[in-house]
Amino acid sequence: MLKKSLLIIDPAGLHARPVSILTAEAIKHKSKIEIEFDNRKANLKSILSVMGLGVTPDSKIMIYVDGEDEETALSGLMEAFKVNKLAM
Amino acid sequence: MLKKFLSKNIQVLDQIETWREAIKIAAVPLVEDMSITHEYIISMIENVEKNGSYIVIAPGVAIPHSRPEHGVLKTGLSLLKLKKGVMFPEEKEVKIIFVLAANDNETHLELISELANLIMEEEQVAKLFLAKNEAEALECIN
Repeated sequence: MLKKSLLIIDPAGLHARPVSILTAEAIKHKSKIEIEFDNRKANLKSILSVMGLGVTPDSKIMIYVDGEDEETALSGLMEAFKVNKLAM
Repeated sequence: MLKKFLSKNIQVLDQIETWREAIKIAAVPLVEDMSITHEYIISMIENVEKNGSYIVIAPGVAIPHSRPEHGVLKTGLSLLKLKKGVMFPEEKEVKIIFVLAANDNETHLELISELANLIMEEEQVAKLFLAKNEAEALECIN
């Protein structure tokens, strides 16, 4: 399992559009992918699950990736976070 | 928070021809109670034209919205339930439309989070799809 800590830099937090971008990337991969915020975890392949977290700007999140393609999955997600200026 | 906002802002209708019209009609209660301006409706429609149907966040459920600065006067939420689905871009059929208007980012995230949690409650949503009138629809909102 891989994990990565990130800081949310989108001034609006993880609202609907960013979440839809991240889930679109996540579902490309076979690994189990989760996001943790405020001691709660959500399935990063489910828009509703991630929106339910209400991830606020300037907060820390943790991404957990577990599975046969975990390395490409994590790098794909980091690219999505970076290109869309969501987190660093 | 959802029930408080929705108590006077629910409409149940048979059918609407286009997704643009559906967003406009769904937003009418928010214009009437001075939560949003007409600019906000135009902005919600442009958002879908530009970014696609990502606002369809679950089968049959859409949450059109835009940025606070595009015409939100105060935070508000409305619900339109259709008996016959309306087609959104990318062939997504929608019967439940929650129009979301938040006057700041924090409230926006809170509302989206509460809505997402509601929509994940399968039993409640199944009942909402079948609601015949405003009162029945309101009963499905916690």
